[in-house]
Amino acid sequence: MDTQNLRIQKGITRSKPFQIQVDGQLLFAYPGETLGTVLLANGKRAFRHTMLSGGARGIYCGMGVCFECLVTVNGQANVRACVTLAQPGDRVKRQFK
Amino acid sequence: MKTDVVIVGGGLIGCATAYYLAKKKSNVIVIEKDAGVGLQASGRNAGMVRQQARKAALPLAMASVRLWAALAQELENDLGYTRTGYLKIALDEAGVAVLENEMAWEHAHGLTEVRMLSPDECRDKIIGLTDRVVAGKFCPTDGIANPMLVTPAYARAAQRLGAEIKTRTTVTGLLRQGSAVRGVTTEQGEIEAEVVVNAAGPWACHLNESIGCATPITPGLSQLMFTERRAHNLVCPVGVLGFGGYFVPTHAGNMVLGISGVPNKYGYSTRVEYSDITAKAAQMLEILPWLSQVSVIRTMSGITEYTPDGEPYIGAVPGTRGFFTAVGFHGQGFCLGPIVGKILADLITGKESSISLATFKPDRFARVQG
Amino acid sequence: MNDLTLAPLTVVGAGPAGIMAAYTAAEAGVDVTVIDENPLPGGQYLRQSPPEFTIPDVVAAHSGHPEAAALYRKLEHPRIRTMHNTSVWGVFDGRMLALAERDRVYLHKANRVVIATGAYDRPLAFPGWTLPGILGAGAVMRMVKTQWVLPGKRVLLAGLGPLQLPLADLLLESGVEVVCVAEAANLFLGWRHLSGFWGHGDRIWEAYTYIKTLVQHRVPVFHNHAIVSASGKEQVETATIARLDGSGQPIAGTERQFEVDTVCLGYGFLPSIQLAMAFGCEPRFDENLSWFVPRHNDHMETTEPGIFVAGDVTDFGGAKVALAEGRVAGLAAAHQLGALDDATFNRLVAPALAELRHMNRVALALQRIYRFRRGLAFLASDDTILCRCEDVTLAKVKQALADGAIDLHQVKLGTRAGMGYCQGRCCSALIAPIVAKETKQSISTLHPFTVRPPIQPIPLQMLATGAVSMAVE
Ligand SMILES: Cc1cc2nc3c(=O)[nH]c(=O)nc-3n(C[C@H](O)[C@H](O)[C@H](O)COP(=O)(O)OP(=O)(O)OC[C@H]3O[C@@H](n4cnc5c(N)ncnc54)[C@H](O)[C@@H]3O)c2cc1C
Ligand SMILES: Cc1cc2nc3c(=O)[nH]c(=O)nc-3n(C[C@H](O)[C@H](O)[C@H](O)COP(=O)(O)OP(=O)(O)OC[C@H]3O[C@@H](n4cnc5c(N)ncnc54)[C@H](O)[C@@H]3O)c2cc1C
Repeated sequence: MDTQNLRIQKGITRSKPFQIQVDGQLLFAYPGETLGTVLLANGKRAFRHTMLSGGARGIYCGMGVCFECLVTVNGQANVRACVTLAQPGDRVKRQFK
Repeated sequence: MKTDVVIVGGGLIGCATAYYLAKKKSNVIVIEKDAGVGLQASGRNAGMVRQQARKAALPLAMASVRLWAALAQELENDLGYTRTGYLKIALDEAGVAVLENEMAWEHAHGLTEVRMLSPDECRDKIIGLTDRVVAGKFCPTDGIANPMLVTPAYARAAQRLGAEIKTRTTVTGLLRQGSAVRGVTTEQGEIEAEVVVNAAGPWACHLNESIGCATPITPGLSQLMFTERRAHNLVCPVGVLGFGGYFVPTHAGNMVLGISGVPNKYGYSTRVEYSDITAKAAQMLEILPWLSQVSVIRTMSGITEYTPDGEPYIGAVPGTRGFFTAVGFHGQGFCLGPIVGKILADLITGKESSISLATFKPDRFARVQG
Repeated sequence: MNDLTLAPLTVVGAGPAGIMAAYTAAEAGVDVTVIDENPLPGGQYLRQSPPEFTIPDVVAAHSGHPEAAALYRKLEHPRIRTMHNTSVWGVFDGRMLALAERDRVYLHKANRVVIATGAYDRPLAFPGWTLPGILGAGAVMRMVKTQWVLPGKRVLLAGLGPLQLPLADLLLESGVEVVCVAEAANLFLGWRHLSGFWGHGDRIWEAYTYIKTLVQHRVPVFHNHAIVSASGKEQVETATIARLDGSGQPIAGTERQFEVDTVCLGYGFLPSIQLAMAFGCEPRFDENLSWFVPRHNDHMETTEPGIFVAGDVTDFGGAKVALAEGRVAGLAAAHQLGALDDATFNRLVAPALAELRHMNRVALALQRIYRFRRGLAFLASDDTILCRCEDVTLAKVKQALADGAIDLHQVKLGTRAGMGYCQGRCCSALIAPIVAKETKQSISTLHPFTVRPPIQPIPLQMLATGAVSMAVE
């Protein structure tokens, strides 16, 4: 997907961005953004493969109810990307098979 | 309604007995008060198929494990049974002596594969186990199975052989004729039978007492915490001497963190106690520190049965014709279910038990006036 | 932990309903503790953007909630203490609330409680629905409005209900291509409920402005259509919609396929009833919703004395109904706590109830027009996953039923559906219609999954802190 401009620009001013690592790649994040937002803004839809069927999953409910958007953050597995704020220096791994 | 055998209670004991009886061509009716079979302790336990650390029931446990080996095939149903082995650890010198005594007992009964492990060997088996471990004892033929599958599988296999399962029916008393039992009364009417089996678990006492046989059972609350599913180091169940808790892996990848029961504290309720789960969580982190960031996603509880000597009541009730009971299994009924069902079916059809049941006589405590 | 002791009234949820309940009770002289798991108040509809984002007021007003700021300020009432970042994860011994705040857990005795826990997107299972890029409408709304990020570039909206239009509008305004809107309601049948809109001209006007935007952007709107499948490799690439027959089943041969990178599912909401269930409140089957909500009386009290509900957790009427119900619940709780005498209570509650009745007329009309259609419950094929947490397919559920399971609980034991992280929040309403159909019972006679603590996962380390705080108390 062409991921340009997935962050809405009109009508909002963000603070100074910082970097986080996602699967080794450096990405910009803005203060106040969730990890889910940072991944989505960079066109990353699939966050993990399920342990049982191996199917790809990503954000679904966006409010912490469904536990589909689980990622590994700084070594901690199964963190909900949709309700977890990105912090400078975060190392995020998608939970792929 | 009339049949050969009526079984009171659709737990594992009741359903296994029904299956082995149906296999012997008996007409069987299982009566269960709940909406389905195996919804009490039989379906909500930790799933350990463990011989280790059994006392008088060790020969039964060993015979049962031999049945477990081919059970999935026999019942034509996946049961999630795996021989993971079972590790029991001691945290102090006194505990080491206990483990060694247990091992002597186990070896004497032919469970020769049990052996002691050094602290390093324990920690090689369970990576990240506390360094407070002083010794361990391991039995490779112990294992786990999925409690949610086993009782329904027995019930279905029994039904295929003609047994009938009546759910949502509560047995209220026994029909008697002189010294013989000839059926049961239920809320929906009477059912006549040559033989009645009381397998009603912790609710069994009053039926036995009604014919003058006291089988004292004190209910205890056993609680389980289920963790999220994730990669982990728990390759086999771990029990800790004197700890009041245990750790069990499951097939699905979750872990079960068990809190041993306390008799009589909470009656027959199956609730979960905040003070128990939080206190045990803290203690469990001392045994397996890597659990700290693992989430608990569900808790539940079941009733365990305490008898005065810690052993179950199994067999014909003396002085009464046509009445058998098998109750009071405390923390061993899941492992023992298959063999107890088979032995009861033998006894009911006039065959001797291959294993001595002397310790488990239903009337071993004072008889009450019936 | 004395400063954390709960006030005589505890309100769980700081959305419109919870805020209004707390404020009304506080005005009547009751001390109130408000608990919400989010860092900021507002709930779903009035959810705020993070404070690090600077949003000029004009824009904030334009995006819908000039009233929001006024509402948040109500929480500054001196009798209200708000605990943010705190979730309620269990009820013990009938009235003890287990709380989790950041990395600690606590147990506190509650007196009167208003449960205003809101709702979440209703899942709809069809082949391919678990693919990344397929999201709930609520999720998309929150993403766009509070995180200011777009879910994708080519979006298909499929759903049932009046929220589809504002959502399409929002996406179009943000520069997203909306390939079509599939609306499952049969508006032809719905017209007869329109009398409910008498006196609600603002609602009709609102709808008109949304439709105007759709027309301007030439977005095709398919009425009486639902999404029936989606496909793609690691994310959604195509989505197919089809026309529905009278019972809401797709009609073969009417399929239309669209290339998309995002599908937005707006099939309404399911109430967050877990906490109410944990309190032991009796559920009521709602025919329009085709699911369970906590039963309550006119004064919003549940079947558990002193436990009230308000807002989306029990009635789907939008933010205004939530506010009106919050007011009634707040007054009733204050009355029970002795802060209002009978006469004052009756005087204050009468207009609140009248207001609620007025709001409910339109809410009920909407619920009838957009009632959940039976056929939508049967779009899955055998290999479609119903329980996302445990990867349980329709085939496995059917097998469990063939093996003798007769209710939701037995299907759960036989398949593990509902045993995962979300504890059946997503799959129970998908599995219930299947159980009902195969066992020939009405869904209303089934019981939703039992709720067991924790209603949200709690890391062991955090649970262990409870042992310490117990010792302190
Ligand atoms: C939390 C927990 C963990 C455990 N872990 C293990 C373990 O790891 N390994 C192990 O071997 N054992 C374990 N156990 C013990 C084991 O679960 C029990 O010993 C075993 O399930 C007993 O089976 P049962 O059929 O006798 O009893 P139950 O399963 O209690 O069945 C009795 C049935 O009788 C029915 N009933 C009662 N009264 C009536 C009536 N009047 N009319 C009709 N029906 C009636 C009940 O509804 C019930 O279904 C554990 C137990 C618990 C609670
Ligand atoms: C996408 C979308 C669009 C909408 N558009 C409109 C519209 O245009 N017009 C309209 O009138 N309505 C609209 N609504 C409906 C409106 O959002 C709701 O009616 C309203 O928010 C309901 O308020 P509430 O207070 O009942 O619940 P909510 O606003 O959902 O608040 C519930 C709160 O409870 C908290 N909570 C839940 N469980 C716990 C727990 N266990 N512990 C702690 N806290 C907890 C949650 O974090 C949340 O903050 C829309 C809803 C959505 C999702």
